[in-house]
Amino acid sequence: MVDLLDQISWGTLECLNEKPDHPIGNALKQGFREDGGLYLESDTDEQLLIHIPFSSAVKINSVIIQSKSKPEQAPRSVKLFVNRPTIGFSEAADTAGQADVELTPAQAAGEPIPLKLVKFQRVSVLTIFVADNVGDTESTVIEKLAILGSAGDSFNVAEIKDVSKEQG
Amino acid sequence: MTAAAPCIESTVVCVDNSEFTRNGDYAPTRFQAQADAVNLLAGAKTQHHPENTVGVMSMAGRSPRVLVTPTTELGKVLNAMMKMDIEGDVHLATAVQIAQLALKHRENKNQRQRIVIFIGSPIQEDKDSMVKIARKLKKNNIAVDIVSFGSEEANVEKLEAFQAAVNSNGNSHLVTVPPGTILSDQLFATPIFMEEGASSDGGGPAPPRSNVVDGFDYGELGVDPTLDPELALALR
Repeated sequence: MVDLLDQISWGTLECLNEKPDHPIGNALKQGFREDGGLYLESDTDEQLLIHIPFSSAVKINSVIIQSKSKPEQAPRSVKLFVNRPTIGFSEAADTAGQADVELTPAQAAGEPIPLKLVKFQRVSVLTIFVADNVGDTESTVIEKLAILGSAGDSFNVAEIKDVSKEQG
Repeated sequence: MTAAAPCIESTVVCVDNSEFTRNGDYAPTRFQAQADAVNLLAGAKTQHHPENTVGVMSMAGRSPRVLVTPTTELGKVLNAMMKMDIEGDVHLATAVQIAQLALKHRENKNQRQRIVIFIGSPIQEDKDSMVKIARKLKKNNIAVDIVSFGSEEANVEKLEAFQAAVNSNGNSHLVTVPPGTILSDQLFATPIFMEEGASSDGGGPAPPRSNVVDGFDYGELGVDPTLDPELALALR
């Protein structure tokens, strides 16, 4: 089980309702998410809708949704959807996800949230819908977001070797 | 989302085709002045980037409807404006919802979403409803430009509240066009026509008599874009 950071398709990554100066990159990217001063914050209200596309179909074991230094603004009710890249706020609120989680204080502090692997077998796009936060504050904050799992057998073009040259 | 340069955009233009637009306070009629502006705007957007798409919908009549789903083909937009009928009153809330849906189902998900609303009649929705609609649009990353003409005084409070609620980092603008002027000319130098990112520090609009519009020096062509915008665009 590894951090699927390298499998993320950064070009089509999308986060709805993020504050322009506190974007999704702050919570996902290496280096940014370790920095407590850089975080993802919601804008118009406390909800967030994050679409994370992967370059190959991945299996997901668990996710980390952490907000240690701002516990009042940490996410509380979170739904995860698989392969629904166009789902919107109202649809996400009304439908059941592949996982519906109420974060415990330990999970909000960084403990991985375990998922039913059988529901997260071939994920091309993972959608995280944050419905509300711990303290019912106006905005929700996520300091670190990590997806843990395993990548499928992906074709790494860099590894192609010229067989004829090898045989000399 | 962080802005990339250049940015590709999908725009749905909402046209006011209510009975109020028969009025001749904008020559020759509010509707025709609006149609000219819409055509020029669509032209400008498709010029900014080959992958930009523009769609058109009518807001008044029995119910708002999408006449052109966002396309790169300017001809379809021009056709739609020619065939549009004047009827009834504007249903703004419904129109915006439909525009939002049209954008949601765009082919190229990399395109940013924008709605341009031309409003030339009194708005029926109250201010609170307008702000609620605006916040929903902002939440979904949709930018909105508004062109207010005809009923500017009646609508100013509602439209200013709307623009303030939907604006995110200066991506949305409200332009008011006074009667007796040429609608297209008034819009030409505003941020609505310009490419996002080209308007530098978000200061005042560009000086009207300048030959440098949209970052392109029309002086080289010997054409003043404010006098003849169509020729200027064509030569460019």
